[in-house]
Amino acid sequence: MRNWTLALAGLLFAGIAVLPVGWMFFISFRTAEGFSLANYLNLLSDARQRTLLIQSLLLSLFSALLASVVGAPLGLILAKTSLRLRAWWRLLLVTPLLLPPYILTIGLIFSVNALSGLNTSLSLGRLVTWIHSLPGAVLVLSLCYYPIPMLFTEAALCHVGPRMEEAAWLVAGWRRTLLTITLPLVLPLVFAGFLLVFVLTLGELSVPSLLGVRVFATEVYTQFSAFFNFGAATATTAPLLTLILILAGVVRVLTGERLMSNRRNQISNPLQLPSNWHGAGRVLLIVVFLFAVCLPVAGLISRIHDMRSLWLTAQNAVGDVINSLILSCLVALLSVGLGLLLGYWRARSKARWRSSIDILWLLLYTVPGTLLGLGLIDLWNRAGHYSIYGTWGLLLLALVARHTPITALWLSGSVRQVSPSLEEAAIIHGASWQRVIFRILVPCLKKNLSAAAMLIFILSFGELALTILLIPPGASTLSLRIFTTITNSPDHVMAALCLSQSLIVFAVLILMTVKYSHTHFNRQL
Amino acid sequence: MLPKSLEKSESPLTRPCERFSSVHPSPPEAMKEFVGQRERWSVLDRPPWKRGDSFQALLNFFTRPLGEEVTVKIGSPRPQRGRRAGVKGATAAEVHNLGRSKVSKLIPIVSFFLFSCLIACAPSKKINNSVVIYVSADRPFSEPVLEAFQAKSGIEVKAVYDTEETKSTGLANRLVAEKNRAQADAFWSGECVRTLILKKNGVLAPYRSPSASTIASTFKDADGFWTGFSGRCRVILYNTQKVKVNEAPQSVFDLILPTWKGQVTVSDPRFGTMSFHSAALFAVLGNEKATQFFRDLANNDVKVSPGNSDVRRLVENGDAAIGLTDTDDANTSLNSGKPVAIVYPDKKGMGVPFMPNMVSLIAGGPNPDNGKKLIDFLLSSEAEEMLAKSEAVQIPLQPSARVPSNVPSIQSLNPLKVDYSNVADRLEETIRTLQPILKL
Amino acid sequence: MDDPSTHLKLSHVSKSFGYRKVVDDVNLEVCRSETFCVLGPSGCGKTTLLRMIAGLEIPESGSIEVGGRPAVLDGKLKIPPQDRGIGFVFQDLALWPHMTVWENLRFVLDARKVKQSDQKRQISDMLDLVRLSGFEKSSPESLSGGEQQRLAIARALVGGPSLLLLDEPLSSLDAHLKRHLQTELAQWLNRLRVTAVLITHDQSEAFVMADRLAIMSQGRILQVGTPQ
Repeated sequence: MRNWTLALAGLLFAGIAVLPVGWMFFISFRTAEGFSLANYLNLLSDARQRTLLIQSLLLSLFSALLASVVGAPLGLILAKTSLRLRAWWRLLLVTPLLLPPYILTIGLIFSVNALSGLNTSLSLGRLVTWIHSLPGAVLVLSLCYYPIPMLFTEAALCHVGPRMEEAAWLVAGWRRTLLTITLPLVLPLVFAGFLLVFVLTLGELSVPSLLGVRVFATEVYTQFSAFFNFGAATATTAPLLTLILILAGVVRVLTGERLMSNRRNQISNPLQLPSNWHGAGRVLLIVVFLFAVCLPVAGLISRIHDMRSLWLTAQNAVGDVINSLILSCLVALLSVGLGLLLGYWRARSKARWRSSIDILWLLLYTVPGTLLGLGLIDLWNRAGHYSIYGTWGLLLLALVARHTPITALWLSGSVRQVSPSLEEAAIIHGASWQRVIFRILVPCLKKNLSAAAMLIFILSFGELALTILLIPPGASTLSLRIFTTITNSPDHVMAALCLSQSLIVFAVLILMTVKYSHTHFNRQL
Repeated sequence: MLPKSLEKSESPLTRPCERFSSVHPSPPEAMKEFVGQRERWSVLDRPPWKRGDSFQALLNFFTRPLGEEVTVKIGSPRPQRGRRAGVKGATAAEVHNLGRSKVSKLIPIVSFFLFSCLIACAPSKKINNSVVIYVSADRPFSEPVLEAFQAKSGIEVKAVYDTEETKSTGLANRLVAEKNRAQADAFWSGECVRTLILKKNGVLAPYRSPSASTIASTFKDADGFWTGFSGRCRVILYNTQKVKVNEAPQSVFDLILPTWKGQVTVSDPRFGTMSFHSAALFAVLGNEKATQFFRDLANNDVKVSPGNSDVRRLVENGDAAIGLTDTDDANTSLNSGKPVAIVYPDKKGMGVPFMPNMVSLIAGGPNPDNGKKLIDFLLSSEAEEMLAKSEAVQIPLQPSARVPSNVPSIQSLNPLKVDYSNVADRLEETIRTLQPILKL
Repeated sequence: MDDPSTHLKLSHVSKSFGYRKVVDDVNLEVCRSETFCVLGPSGCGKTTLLRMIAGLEIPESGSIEVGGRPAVLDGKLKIPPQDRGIGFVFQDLALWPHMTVWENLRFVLDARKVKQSDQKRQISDMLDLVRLSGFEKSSPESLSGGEQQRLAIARALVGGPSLLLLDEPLSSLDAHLKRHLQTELAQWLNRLRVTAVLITHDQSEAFVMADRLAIMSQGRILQVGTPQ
């Protein structure tokens, strides 16, 4: 039973996620002259693309570094100081991650423009040109992604046994304990956060193009949208994937199997920092919050003159909101279910190559959504009575395929935190496998599962590339409507639409936080 | 990892967990007493509805005959066949409670319900009186026209919208990928290049609409694969606080004058309407002259923005003095009262770059007849007037269409004389040439 | 009052978590070089008491004197834990998994600012004492239960603490090993003439190890006396 279910989950995942992407790469070897490496050789010989790749690498590397430098101390403060309303602080600080990056960027650009108009004598005008440069893009991207290292650090700190720190604290002071005991113990997970930010920024298109920074991701996009040569376009993703492979390899050599798991199973209340650090910590929280959340939102609000046009758009969008809500709920549910099974298999597997599965997931998530969508169309657009092509079903499957790699990666990490002896005990006492899953594993991972579901809900709520390719004719979702109405609208409508999408994300987050604010939500990451 | 034998072991200890299921045989006599003890212990320990398989109990609750009390002894070592399994002493309300206490059990039911809602919302796949159209013209302007067609003809319009300007790789990709089994009947493109690439990829089917007879032949494909209608121009938008009206550039060639060094912005020539504009310049001027023009532009420190709306925004805010954009973007800017003005470039020279909307029939689409009807309607002067009156201020191509005062007539414009398919052919080469020049 | 032989003195120490009073008005005196044992059922507040002595928790009221100096005065911290000269053996050992056996010990000496040249000798002496020579390069996770236990004790002793606190140090071992280690530990404490406060719920352990004994229940000290 157990093996059958896992095999079925694996097969489904292979069918909707691995196969379409693999198919596109298969096509990339097919050229007019039959099978050849032409698409890839063209890549190697192009000096322009090499410089773009280096630019991309620099951008991602520095963004990931800066995000870690900002995020890790925030995680430390969240975990180790006595904050009132800790869950709310976490919510506020996580929002930049959950809003589409382009909304944040537009908001930042608006507010920078407003600032430079405010006072020209302070040479704030230079800010506008500065933000449209590589360092500017690094800053904006790290403001978008610092919550990842923050959450990872906080989770890691909750897994470091407080006794270990106390043992050091008794002989050394605070600073030394943090540096020599705490830091090495949380480093693997902070590293994992760094890697994740690196991957995400490498594929990011909207922020660099809004800021006018040339990156390799634009190259992939150009291949798809200007030349319609799917094979060549797929080949262009190869350098990005290679970069990620290399980096993942390096990280694995450095941290070993600890990349996603930690030594200690229990989570405990982390040791608190001495109280004279708390004030400084709170100041840091507020500063980051002002920069990453208040500044862009203020930028958006500053452009809104009246709510009438927003109201007019909103009236048309009710059906789309319902579609979006149902679709995202289902995607979240299915993706978490599938991700749990895959993650469980990954966590409990004894296969030698199990750790390369992590990398496969990482790669699948790096591949642009367009690639997956085109692969799905090619494979699934077949005649037949039972074809689900052109229905919501395929879009649902596609969105599940898009997001399951992250849930699987996440949940395999958390399944490893659950001691196998819990399951063995249940099985010895006569529980069937389903019972073990639903009565032991799911309750143990309840918080992880709901946090993952929330993340997937928000991500699929804003998903565009796949939705445009696979939406059934005559239907629409909210993000699609916003996207198709936004372009020729004046600033105030655009700002209003961005804000309204943010509000929905906020609403979901607040619901979750209200539900879990009394517990250490997200601690079991 | 776990010994397989354990999973399937028929240990008597498994029985207590399955005590609600009536199909299982009773535990061996020897275990009876033990089981009984466990029952007593667990009765004290947990509320009744938390024991055993609550999903089964829930099903039983819903399937019981009306009015029957839900009672079965759980301690009983031999649940009799035919007797309803349930919860000892539990009232119906208590059994009902388990629905709330075990939300996770309801997830399959809820998701099935949601999924059926979604399926119900989705258009049924049967061929009925409908037409599927993919629209890459901006939705605020195209949607009312399609709604008018639906009201007039009674044919249901199922549209998928996209926009050619932003960073989706959208509908044209979808059409190419769906080529083997087309899902759309017609494609309405807001600009020309995509349509012509689709023609090259064999996605389109020829159709000569009767409404098109009055449209000038420049705007029609010789083989009938596409027909142009209402169009936009490329215009020079300038900030009136930075540029005096009488000094405003009148031609794109004025943009390379040293007066405007560092003050000009254009959108990315690889995407959207700017890609048409630059390819058209290559087609009209020839490679050498056009390359030189873009080199001069680059030397004049031109700023390349991601899209036309960004160009508009930069000019509105005065971050750039002059920009190249489309009539609809410029009109948005004018309407919102910003200090900007427009010039139709090269009106007195080679001509204003003009980009008609294009509509085409898709080869092998599901409802070709309805598709043709829709195309006929889009090409009519009625539809063109709607587009002219909208905020997109599209310039009609039907001579009979009446235009509002802020829209120039096509005759007054002197549109750039260009072979649209030639422009599309040059696009890829143009992009490859421009990438190093503009450092894209 | 100021008896020079008193090493540790607790007066009217109380601590509560939420509404629960965990330690309730405890008064204790521990003499120099004696092994003092606190015996009580689990959950009676022993561990909290020990953590307050170490400085890991701060009592709400009451004072603690270590070596004649006030460490806590009327519920206010006077000496931070690292300056109290304390060695602590945790119940779950809390060995640092990312360091080798040698590094675990050296960390303490580094922190106590022992000279590099003395470190080597002190560590190998200590490893000899607890019979862990030869394991210098192993990671603590590769050691057996008894070895980990001895390493934890070695780590607590290596810095030359004047006061050693042991929180149920032997509870995770089997009976045979426990008896063996008990006698060994008693020998080591005797040899090093360290003042030790030992917490346990195991009567026999308390009787073997202790010079003096306190019985604690529900946050209060019920009785203090010798094992006899």
